[in-house]
Formats: sequence, C-alpha cells, structure tokens
Amino acid sequence: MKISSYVPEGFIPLDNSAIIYPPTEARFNANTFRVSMDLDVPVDTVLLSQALDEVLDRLPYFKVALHEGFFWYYLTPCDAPVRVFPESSYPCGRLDRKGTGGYLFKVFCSERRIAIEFFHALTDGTGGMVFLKMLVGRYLQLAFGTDAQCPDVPRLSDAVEPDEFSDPFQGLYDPEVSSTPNEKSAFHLSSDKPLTDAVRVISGTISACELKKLAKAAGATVTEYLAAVLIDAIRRLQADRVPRRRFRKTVGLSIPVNLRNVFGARTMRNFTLFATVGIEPSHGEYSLDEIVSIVHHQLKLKVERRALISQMKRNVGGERSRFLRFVPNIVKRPLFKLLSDSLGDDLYSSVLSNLGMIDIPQSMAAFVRRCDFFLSPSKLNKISCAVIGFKDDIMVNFTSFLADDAEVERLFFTDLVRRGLHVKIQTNRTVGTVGKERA
Amino acid sequence: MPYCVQCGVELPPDASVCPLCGTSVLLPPDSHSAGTEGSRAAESEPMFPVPVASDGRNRWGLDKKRKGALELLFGLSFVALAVLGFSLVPSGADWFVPMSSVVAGTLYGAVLLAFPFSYRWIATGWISISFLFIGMLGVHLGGYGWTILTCSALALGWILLVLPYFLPVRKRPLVLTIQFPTILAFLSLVDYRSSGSSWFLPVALPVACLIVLSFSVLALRIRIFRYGDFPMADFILSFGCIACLAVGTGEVLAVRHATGVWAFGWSGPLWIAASALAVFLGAVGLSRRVRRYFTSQTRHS
Repeated sequence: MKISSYVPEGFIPLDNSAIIYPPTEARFNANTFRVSMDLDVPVDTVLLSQALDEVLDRLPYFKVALHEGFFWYYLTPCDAPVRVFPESSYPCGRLDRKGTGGYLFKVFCSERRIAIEFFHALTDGTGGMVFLKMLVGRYLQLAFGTDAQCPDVPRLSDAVEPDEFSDPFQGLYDPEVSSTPNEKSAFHLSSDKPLTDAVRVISGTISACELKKLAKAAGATVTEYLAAVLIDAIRRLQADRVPRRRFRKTVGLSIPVNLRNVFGARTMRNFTLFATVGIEPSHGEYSLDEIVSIVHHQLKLKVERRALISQMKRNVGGERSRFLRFVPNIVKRPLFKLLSDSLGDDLYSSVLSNLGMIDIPQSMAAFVRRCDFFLSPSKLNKISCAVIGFKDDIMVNFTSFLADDAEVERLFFTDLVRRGLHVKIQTNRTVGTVGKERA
Repeated sequence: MPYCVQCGVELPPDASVCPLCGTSVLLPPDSHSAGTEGSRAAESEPMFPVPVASDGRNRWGLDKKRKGALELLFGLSFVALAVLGFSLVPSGADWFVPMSSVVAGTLYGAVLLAFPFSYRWIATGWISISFLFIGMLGVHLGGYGWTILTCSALALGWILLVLPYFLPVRKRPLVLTIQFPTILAFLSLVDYRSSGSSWFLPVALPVACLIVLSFSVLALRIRIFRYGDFPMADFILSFGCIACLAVGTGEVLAVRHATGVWAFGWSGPLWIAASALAVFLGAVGLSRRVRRYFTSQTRHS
C-alpha cells in the first residue's frame, strides 16, 4: 500500500505540532526521540529488514521524506530502500536525512536490541512506540513463528485507514476560544564548558511497584511524582548556584500530554501538547510533598479538555494566521526559531515525558527483556528526561549535552534512593569525566 | 553487584566509577566475574554496546569534506605562489606584498576550515594572522610607527570583542578589569605616537575615570535595587545619562586643553540632557520608594 493513494496532491502538509520542528532543527536541537526493545535472543538483521519492509507497507505514513517549500515544509511519499543501521554509541543525535534515504526515522540494530530514532516532525512517542511494537512483533513472528499481535496496534493484514494519518488538531480548532496566556521565563542549566552533541545518557531502573506505592502515598501518579522529584532536584541545584533567593527563576517542567487519551483520535502523527508545571523558588522554600501537590493540581488544570483546546487555539491559530501563511519560508525559519524559544524552551527548565507502561502480549513479552525511551535535549534545556515502564521496571532515562556534569541526575536519583527505592544505574558516559565538576 | 557508597545506587558490574558522582568503585579483584547475578547482567545488552565510534574525523579533528577543501585551498595557493614567484622575482619587482597577501588569504580560509566553527576561534585566528601579516609588512617596508599602532589596535579589538567569549559569564568583572586598563594603555600609546601636545593626561584619563565612576554607581544601584528586577527603562536612561556626561566632559576638557579656558563648546545640550535624565531618574527612584513605603504590608511590623 502506498501513501500516494491517499494523497492525490502528492504532498502531505505537516501536522500542527510538527510545523515547529524542521525550522528549529540544529546540531544542538535535534528534535528526535528514540524507542527501543532489548530482546533475549540475538537479532537477525536480514529478517529484521524483511519485517521492516512489511511494517512500512502497512504504515505508509512513515514512508515519507521532508522537503522545504516556498511557504511551508511538507512531506512527500518516499520509495528509497530502507536500511537497518548498526547501533551507535550516543542516541538522539541529529538525524542525517541523506543517510536514511530521506526517511525521517532510522532503525538501529545491535546484537540483542532493535531501536528506532524518529525526527519529531514525523510522529510522537505514542506513534513511534506503535511502529516499534509492530516491527518487533513482525520480527518475532518471522524468526520464531510467535503470534505477537499487540492489542493497541493495527494488524498487518488490515487495510490502511486514513484516520491513522489525519491531523486532528485542525478539527479541534475553535476560533472563539481565547488563547492560553504565556508564562514566565524559567531557570536553565548553564555550563562553563562547551556543549557536546554526543548525547550522554544516564538511565535509572526502578521497581514499578515500589515507585507506584511511593507515588500513591504522596497522592500523585507516577508521572506527577517523578516530575516533582525532578523539579525539586533542579530547585536544589539552582539554590546552590544562585545564592540570593530573589534572583532565582521559575523551575518548570514541560510534560507532553497524549491527546489521544483525551480526544480519542487514532492518528500516528503528532497529537501531543505540552503542559508546563513548576514552582517559584523566589517565593520561598518548598518541600517535596508541597511540590508533588502543586504539580498534581497544576497538571489537573492543564490537562483539562478546555485548557487543551485553548492551547490548540494558540498553535493552530498561528498556523492559520494570514500573515504567517503568506510569509516565505526563508523568513519563517528565523521567526519560528525565536517563537520556539520564547513560547517553548524558555518557559521550562527541562522536559519529562512518560510513555507509560508498555503493554505487549505474553508471547512477545517472553522475548523482550527491556524497553527504553530517550528524548533529545536542546541547547536551552540541556537535560531531558524520558520515562517508560515495562514488566516490573520503570526506566528513567536522562539525556544530556553536558559531558562532565551529572548533578541534576545525581540529585534526582539520590532523592529516590533516600526515599527507599532501589535504583540501578547504566550510562554511556566515559569513565572519569563525571564528578570533576564537584571535586 | 557494585553500589555507589555516596549515592546508594546500583552500578553495572563492570563500573569503575559512579556515573552520578564520580566516586570510585572498590571491589575485590574477582568479584566482577563471581555470582549468578553478575553473570546474568553480563549476558544482557549493555546500555550502548559499541565503543565510541569514529565520526570520520582524523587526529586533527577534521572530517573528510573539510580535509578535502583544505587540500584544495593549499593546492591553489601553492599554484598562485609559484606563478607570482616566477613572474615577479626575475623582473625585480616587489614580490613580498603580493606573495604574503596570497599566504595571508590562504591562512584566512584555512582558519575557517580547520578551526572549530565558532566566533571566538575564527576571530582569534583571523586577528592573529592579521597581526602577523601587518607585523611582517612593517618589517619589510621599514615603517614601524603605523605597524605598532595597527597591531595594538588588533590586540585591543581582540581583548574587547573576543576575550569575553573565552571566559564564563560570572567572570565578566575580571574581563572589565582587563579591558579598561588596555583601552587606557592604547590611548596613551596613540597619544605618545601622535605629534603635538599630549592630550592623554588632561583629557582622556579624567573622562575614563568619570565613565568608570558612573558605571560603578550604576552597578551599585542595580545591586541594591530591592523592587524586583532592575527596570530596563532605568538602565537605558542611566546609560544615556552617562554617555551625555562623558561626551560633555570630554568636550569641556578638550576646550580647556586647546585654549586654556573653561568653557562649553557644542556640548551644552548634552549637559542639559544629562542633568534632565539624572533629575528624572532621581525622581522616579524617590517616587518608587514613597509608593513602596505607603503600600508595603510589612511597614508596621
């Protein structure tokens, strides 16, 4: 099945969330994310390539390339052969579109791991995970004859439905709603040393049961609790680096909200908005319990249907504005970079994205040892946090441009350890580079 | 399985330091291979198994494209030098200026290709090449006066425009303490090299001291400002006031130096503007204090 059957015009406009990603893409703003599954068995690359071809036939929306038009970026169907790449040392780097044949994703394979990195203009974490589940499921079916059909994933034999690549933002746009107000600029981590685009990872594995118990005792969900712990870690770091309280800035976190759960769409494209939660350290000291409560209530207010529609009004309204529509892309690019900073990255100190517990059938789970999720950091917010749950574990993956500073990660994980959680750490950081800052 | 004694987190079996705090992991020599837990962990997929992959850069940090462009640049430069050498040297014409210009041009291009693509490195490279080129030109032509002044101006430009980007923001005061004496030293050098009566001590030095004093007062005002962030309007107006005051003082001192009479020349309006701005800023500060006094919730406590 080809996507050109569904797009007679020959091009697909980017969805509303995706518009901001291509013009702001840069070495230190890769706008990529990665999902991966570690298997218990070695991966056969030939079978994986076959599975990839079959999955892409079922998901034609992913067989697209990005182009820059006179007014907007757009997608067109792409028929280049898809390659499987060997695993790299540093995840979530800038996607080399020439190397992928124009595709906006890259499939990696190591001895026992299948991973996919996506450019965010193509899809969001949920869409990416559907792709990965289909790919791993089909691979296991080809390799071991396992029936690995996930409940929330389309069947390979089913016909493609146009809903799978619709842009639901356009249908939810209400011009009568007032736009969401802008927020204050937040604290950003700074570094005396030059940044490195080789993204450093620190991954913590925590028992899901224990973490859920702790979050429940604090009256919050796992996302809210982890967000509160991360806010508290950044708050303590700021208190250490900015001794005078009145000069301290807002510590905010951007939490992507999966709108499929709120509005019920089935699209594989971006259908996410960002809820910003945070505290004002200049107002006084906060305990973790207070932060948990603040995050819980702020998130409740921001994930409310009307608040989300108001945020959509601002985003889609911008896209539909006559001024922006007829401004050439060459002018839009720097304008979007400014907008992305002032209405996006500048308003929060980091990003925390939780994909939730990954649900796969037992026949497939028998082969899968671990799932991972990583987000690319940005130049302003040099640390990102991605959370994913699988079986009895929750993986909290920090990605960072700071090669020799893991202070936020240290404060975050040691706080969880102090609260009685068992945390297992893994990293791709070079031995001996961490801790110099503190020493 | 090793644990970090500082952070309390479990580390990978082969870890030698904690990635969070840098504390060394101390284990008995045979403990890495011992135990079923360790064996199981070793079988599992490590975080990122491939050792740090080469990104196609050679030992000088150049990738293939840049290396090719550099080779082309040096090749073209070599051809140009050969052509110039064969045509100019036998004829007895001055070969130094055209040939050193080709070398300097090549080096400018090489800096762009070989240095990290950042303002501070490229500016440093270009300023160094210009320094070297002008110095050699001075030696060749025998005129040291303009060479010293131009090289000093290049050094001053580097200190003013590039040095701040090599130091972290928190070291800005250090940068200013380097920049200010350098400007004064450059002005005194210009004064020393110029003919006529000396203007450095009677004009330039008092104006410089006035500027430093004014900015110190402004910095102190920002430091002790208690009503949130210092307003940008106040900062711009203060800056304008200092500029008017400095130019006006310079003009009065220059008139005094030239004629021996204390008098305003064309700087009268500047003095009026500086006074008006100072009065306005003082009034705004006072009104802010008064308003704060009558609206403060804690003044009775």
